[in-house]
Amino acid sequence: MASGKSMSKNKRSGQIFFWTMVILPLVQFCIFYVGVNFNSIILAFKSYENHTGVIVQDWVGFENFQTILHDWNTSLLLKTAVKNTFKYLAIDILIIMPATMLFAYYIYKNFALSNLFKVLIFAPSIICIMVLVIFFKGFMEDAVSQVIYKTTGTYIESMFLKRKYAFYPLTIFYIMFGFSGNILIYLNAISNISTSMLEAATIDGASEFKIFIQIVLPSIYKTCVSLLVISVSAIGSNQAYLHSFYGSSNAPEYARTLGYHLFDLVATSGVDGDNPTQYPIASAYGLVITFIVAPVTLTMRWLLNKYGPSED
Amino acid sequence: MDKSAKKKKFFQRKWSALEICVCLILTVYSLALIALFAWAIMTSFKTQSAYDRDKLFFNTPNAFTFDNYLNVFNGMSAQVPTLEGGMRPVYIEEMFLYSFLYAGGCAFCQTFFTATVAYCTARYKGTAASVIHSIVIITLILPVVGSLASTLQMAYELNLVNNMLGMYVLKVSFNNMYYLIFYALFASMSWEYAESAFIDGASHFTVYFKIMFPLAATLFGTVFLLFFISYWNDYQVPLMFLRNMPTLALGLYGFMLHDHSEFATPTAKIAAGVCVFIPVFAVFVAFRNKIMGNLTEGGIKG
Repeated sequence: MASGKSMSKNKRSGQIFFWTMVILPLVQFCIFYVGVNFNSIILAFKSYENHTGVIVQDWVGFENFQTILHDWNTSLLLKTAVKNTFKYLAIDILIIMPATMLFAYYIYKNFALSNLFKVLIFAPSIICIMVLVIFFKGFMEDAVSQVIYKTTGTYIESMFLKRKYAFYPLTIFYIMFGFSGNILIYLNAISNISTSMLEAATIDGASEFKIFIQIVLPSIYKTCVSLLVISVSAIGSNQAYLHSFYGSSNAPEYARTLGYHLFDLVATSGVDGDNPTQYPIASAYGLVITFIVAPVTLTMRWLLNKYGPSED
Repeated sequence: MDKSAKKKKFFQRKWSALEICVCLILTVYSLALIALFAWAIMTSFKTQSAYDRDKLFFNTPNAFTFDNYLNVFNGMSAQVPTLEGGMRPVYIEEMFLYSFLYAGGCAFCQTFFTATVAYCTARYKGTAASVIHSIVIITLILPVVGSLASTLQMAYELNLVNNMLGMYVLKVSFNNMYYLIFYALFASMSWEYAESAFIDGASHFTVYFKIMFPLAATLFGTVFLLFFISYWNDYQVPLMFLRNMPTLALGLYGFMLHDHSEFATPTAKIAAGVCVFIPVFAVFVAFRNKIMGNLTEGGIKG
């Protein structure tokens, strides 16, 4: 009886501990996730107008969505942004993902210089993106331009602002610093593969390429799906480092992505809360992109998991 | 095995085609990366006139200078409003302080609450714990785009903008991938220590803070470091939420793109980059095994 009483007391104090520890983060979640997203939906149906310094808000129904549709039909900016966003998504899926997997496998197998490569691949992810941008921009615009001039006689001035050249250094930067983020995740996934299976394949004479394709890839398939889904779901927020290169509003229209466009709408709209005129259209864009991207990513995830290769 | 035997084995071993290809790509990648950083560090010690003459190498006499670093310490500044209604400059030393407060505080809040919620849901099973666990899974899977305007508006309404404590409040969150790592760790920990402590009269708070939390200290340290580095490097959130307390990364952004003073020469901008990069790189070098090892060898597992 006494023991039962003590157990129920312990259970009650456990409940008190549980709620004391989770209440603050739960309230934060309710305000800054649930509340923020609810407010975002409401904002999409509102407008803020600046009448000589006085902000007047009004309900405008679907007007913001009509503006987006109008922009889509008339403005080249939005179409270019979508096109560029898909270009970077393709780079993510076709170049960065497979290369990172191969690099992770190379490091896992402890091939030549793998410890050095591991540090060098991971290091950019801990360095401020502004630092990388300053170094890279200076290096490309000054040092590389000088080399190109000395070897070909062509002088390229401000290559990040020239339509003809800008895409190349931006893409090189995107690829060069794109491996870092996920290398540890792939490395961890590969290190979970049974070593006896890999050893058996090696004894049977399978080439490294065959082992990678037939054992490693199916074994890390779930990790690949998760990272693929993350890449696809980020299409509305992927700025491709444009804000770091050009700042707010200064990125050339031909280089912009959807993520940059969305961020720029908010960044240029009075961040002190005194001029939220662009907030409704930014929220409407967010809502439209979420409605397109969310079902696509969830369906893709479900299909890839259902019909993908099994570890067995 | 001694060094020469290792060397012999290295050269006698049969290299596969895949190994050769990847090794070549990684060598080119590494050389490009090393060249970029070597060029930047070298340029940061170059006089502007020497840089104008040759942007690639150090081939002129008297080209070496510390002036770029002096320019950074004297000239890299951001204007912030004062209480009296005027403006005052914030220099690099104050930016360092704001970076420490922002990165340290936000990283601590986010790591502590992520670990705590993970512990509660892993160890105090029940409907509430299941609901919270599902919330994390759903928010991690569901992509929500374009909520920045709404977040900014709400933060402004709640007086959290330009307020360091406000930034900490924004980071009292748990719905991130590290929740799953902490959850797996706490779920796999033996509960026997806790049961013994309960028999000895310890409270649930004592068990968490004095027994379970120290057992997770290594992972806590690693996640804290990763968050710290990410907040130290972040300039977009301070740009939107913390303009009156500019961090180093935000100062660097302004110095690179919006500063047209005589201090903001191309070589000084590169020196400013080196100033921001060195502390984080030093932390990385000191803790690289902890940062890279803990997450690959145990943390994510399970």
